[in-house]
Amino acid sequence: MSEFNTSSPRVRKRKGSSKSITRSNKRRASTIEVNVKQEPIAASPILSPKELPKSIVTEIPSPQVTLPNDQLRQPTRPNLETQFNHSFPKNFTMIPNEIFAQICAHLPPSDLLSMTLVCRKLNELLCSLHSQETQAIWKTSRTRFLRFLQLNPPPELDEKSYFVLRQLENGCQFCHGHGIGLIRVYWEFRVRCCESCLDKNTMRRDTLYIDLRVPDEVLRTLPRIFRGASHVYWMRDVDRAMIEYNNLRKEEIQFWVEHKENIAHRIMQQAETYEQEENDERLSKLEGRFVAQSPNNLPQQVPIPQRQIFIRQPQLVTNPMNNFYVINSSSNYTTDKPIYTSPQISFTQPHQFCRSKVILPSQYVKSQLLYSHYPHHPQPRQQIFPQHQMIPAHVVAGIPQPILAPQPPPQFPHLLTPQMMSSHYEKFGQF
Amino acid sequence: MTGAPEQRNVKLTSSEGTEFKVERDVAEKSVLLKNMLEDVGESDMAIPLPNVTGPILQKVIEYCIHHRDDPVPAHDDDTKKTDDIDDWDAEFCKVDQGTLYELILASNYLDIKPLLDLTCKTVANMIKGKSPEEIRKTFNIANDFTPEEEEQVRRENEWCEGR
Repeated sequence: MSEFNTSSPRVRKRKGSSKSITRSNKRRASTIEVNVKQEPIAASPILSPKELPKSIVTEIPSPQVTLPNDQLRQPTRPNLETQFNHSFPKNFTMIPNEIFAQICAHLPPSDLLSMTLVCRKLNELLCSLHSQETQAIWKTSRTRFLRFLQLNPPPELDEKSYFVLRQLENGCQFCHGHGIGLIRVYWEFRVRCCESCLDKNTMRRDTLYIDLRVPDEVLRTLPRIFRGASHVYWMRDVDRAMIEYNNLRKEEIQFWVEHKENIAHRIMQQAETYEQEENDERLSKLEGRFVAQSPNNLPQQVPIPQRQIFIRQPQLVTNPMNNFYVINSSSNYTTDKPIYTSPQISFTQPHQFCRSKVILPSQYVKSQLLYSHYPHHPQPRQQIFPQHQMIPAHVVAGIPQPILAPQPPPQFPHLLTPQMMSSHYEKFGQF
Repeated sequence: MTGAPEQRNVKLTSSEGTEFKVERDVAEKSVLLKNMLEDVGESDMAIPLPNVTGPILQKVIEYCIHHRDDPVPAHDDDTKKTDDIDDWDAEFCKVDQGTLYELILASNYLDIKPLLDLTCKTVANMIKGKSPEEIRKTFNIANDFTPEEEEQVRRENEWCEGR
């Protein structure tokens, strides 16, 4: 029987301040390690193994560790793997849960969703609301595959419902794609619906309070949104809360109201951040469409709507035919390079410089993109020419763009300063 | 660590008692064996692997030999996409499902992260983009839902919380 040459590494480990990481990692302890643990510290800890010649190390008597001994111990050890020692999975559903979770880590949530429909076992694994493992599976998949679903689910919503709720491409969950108006998630109510379905399913506060006599205590506990100059409530929320409320004893009401009010408050507080993420997804989809349609199809050079600061140079005051300088908010300073010459904006009077002619607030751009199919979407000011709204990234990158032919200076009399007008004008009202 | 010559062979015994001789750096692809070897030092004794059968162990060794020179992967390899399986690996995974599951279990037991990732990815790719019916067919799973239950689950998946 061969002897284990354990002394050399062991001595060093015992001397160390803590056990080595490799050992603590190893919960599925090897048989050999188990035996080594029983080993008395054979070598004196004073001797460093480096100082010991190899021959001496091998001469130190090592404990009687034998292979048969190992094999005897093997089956009795509580060990996850030994359970499957004699029954290798022949079917997908027989895979141990931890491995199933590993496989799910490579699948996007949409595939997990179809797996819930396969059989009971998989459904159980993926749909149990209170299992930590299930939630972890969904979370891994969500954070890995969905760029625009990185926030943790809002309070009282499990991971799966969170994903189901946010499937914007599925349209309104009530009228299934025949919705009117913008379809979006109303995070306060945990629904994804169009505006007409929202109006059908909500009720104004005064109707509830005055006509239906829902007590104020109940209304306080419910999440609400502001719409049409009033707070509106989701009707089924109200129904549910009323049933709960009526079943409460008097002394419980106080606690119940406080508890629910707290939750509702948190839901409403966080709704905005979720909306932001949702809008980001919409915007990126629109940009994706734009890339696909653009003739040059330059994926990296598509102008991303972001805040751009236009800086007017000091000499602009004296020289109105100006160069514009751009500073990208993502800290790419390009001040030393004139980028865009705009012959159309000419300020006959420097003090009349109008910021809104040049700077387009980014929310206008967003709303334009988002509500472009609306007839009455917020319009930016009329005087802005499209080429002034943004300096596209490909221009920043230096690709030559046709510069428009300079227009003749303005001929309109109302732009002329009084000094430039002749006295005939005042007299006759014309040139 | 031990100062011993690196390229010594390590003997591994599968569950049936078949002995496999591999070089040490190949065996050290497995974190389990690596730790074991570090702890025990040099030994001529075969390491018993009672959870791994001979054919599977042979496959695992084949993988380890092919990937012996791979760098140790970075700790956060979460960004890896599912479809970046190279040709050799794809060919390696062309085995029947039973073998694939055994490979997964063996790599999990032996703690060979890249092999575990590879095999899990392979299974995941078999699921990806398929309808529930197709998944059942692929894995030979019987549908044990009653029609009502199935309808219920389907509704839950479309509608949130049945509102």
